[in-house]
Amino acid sequence: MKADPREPDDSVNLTPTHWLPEATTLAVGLTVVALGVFTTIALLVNLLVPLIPLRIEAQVTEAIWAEVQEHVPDGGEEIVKRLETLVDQLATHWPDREYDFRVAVVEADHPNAFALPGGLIIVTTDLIRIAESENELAFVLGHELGHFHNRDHLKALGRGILFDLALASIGMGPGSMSNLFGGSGLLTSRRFNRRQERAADRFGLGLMYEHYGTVAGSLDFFGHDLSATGISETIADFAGTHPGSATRIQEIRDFADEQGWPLNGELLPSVFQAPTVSDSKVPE
Amino acid sequence: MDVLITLGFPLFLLLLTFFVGIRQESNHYKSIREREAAMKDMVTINFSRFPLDLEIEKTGMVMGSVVVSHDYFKNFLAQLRMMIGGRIKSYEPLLDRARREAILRMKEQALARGHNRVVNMRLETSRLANSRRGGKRTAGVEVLAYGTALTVREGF
Amino acid sequence: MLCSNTEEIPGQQIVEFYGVVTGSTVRSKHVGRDILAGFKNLVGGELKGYTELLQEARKEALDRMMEQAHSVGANAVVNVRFGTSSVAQGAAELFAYGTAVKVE
Repeated sequence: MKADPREPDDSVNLTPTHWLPEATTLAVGLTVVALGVFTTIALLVNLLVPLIPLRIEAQVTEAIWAEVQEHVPDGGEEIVKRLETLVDQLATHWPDREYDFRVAVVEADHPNAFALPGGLIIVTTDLIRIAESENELAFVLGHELGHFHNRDHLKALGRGILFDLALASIGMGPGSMSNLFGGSGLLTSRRFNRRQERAADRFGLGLMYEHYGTVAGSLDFFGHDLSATGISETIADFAGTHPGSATRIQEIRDFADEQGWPLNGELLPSVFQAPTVSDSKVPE
Repeated sequence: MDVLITLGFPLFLLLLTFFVGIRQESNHYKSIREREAAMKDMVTINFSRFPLDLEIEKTGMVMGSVVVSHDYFKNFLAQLRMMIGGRIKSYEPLLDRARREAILRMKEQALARGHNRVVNMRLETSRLANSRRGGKRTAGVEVLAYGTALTVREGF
Repeated sequence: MLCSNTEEIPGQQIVEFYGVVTGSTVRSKHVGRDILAGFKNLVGGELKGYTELLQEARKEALDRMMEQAHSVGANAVVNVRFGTSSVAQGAAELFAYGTAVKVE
């Protein structure tokens, strides 16, 4: 045998590809698929959550209630009672409610309110401090009642769990936001969150109209923190959990006009700023 | 705003590593092809049968190995491709380069020691995992080529 | 193109040899199969999806090796050896190499 060294064709082991087009096609294709999967999950959750009985929710509340009570500031019982009265007044216009609403007040330096499973509404002391009228508080509370009406807290929970499950099943654990699939999940959940906030706003407005005859005072809440939205409105709109304040205000105005509900009218004074001698009414 | 930053930075990194990686790869291939042409006369076979009446001056075992890592862009592309399955085209250059480089180094070692034939060449490949991410990310691929080198006068 | 994993083609004589030829390929199964395989890990047994994957990859590696042999004008490849390694989680590289020869 004789040696005749020859150089073989070295391209057989390579597939000539244009890398950039391939990367773009794959990335776009997979993002579309991911968004589709996440949207389907979210729609499924929206369909199934209304079937969950309230009994289960009530059990969760008991656990949280005990925890929250430890954060109520001194002198808070009076405020809680007044808030609960307001909630009950508003809720009479929602006759088929099955919740027993309870209110808790916690110390915090930003104005906010939360709806927790089982009919628990948490309000921060800062919100009470800056509210200028009873109507303003009524809008916030009505908004929270709207969340209960739509069972939004359960929907958000369900979405969170199922999204994490979907990501984990392809090998990406919870918190992997920096890649395509985590990002798609985040965008989808934000879209659905914004829809929920919009619906809660409208429900709150409806209750206010039934109770006061006007929706005056509903926009005053936004007057306090409009300074926070310094960024271009459209980006904050799409990417944020709550629609950018300016858009939200516009949507409320438009909705009120559509329904023929007057945005101006008499405002009842907020009971928490009534000048009285008793210091325990104004939390420190 | 945070969406733009979260997307923008990886995108920039991808494009940067794409261009740098492409250039690195073509430089490496050029070097490989030149050396392969130069090493053409170092006859290599991967079995050990050769004519028994050869005059063999000396023998020795020779090896060549290399660890090659991929760039961020090709890794990203491969991960996308792995979702769908099929041939992962972006890893092919990586392994091709590594293998040919390892074989070349083996031949160069044989030449440096004064041999002119290599018989019974074998190849081994292994993956080095990135120890930080729990061993999931590939840090690089190692290829080892080894064989027995001979110095013969003629006839083979 | 004849292939053999012995040092010569049985019954034939090697006349010339041209050098080592290699063929390799990197493959992975899609993410759905991975999930199913994860479940199969619980019960054990043959992972059909992965068996197929590696069979396809081996065939392709062999085909590429023979293509290289063809390009140097050989009509047989002897002493074919295989190698497998994992290149990344979920992807496997298959390579085949042998010596391209002319037999009669």
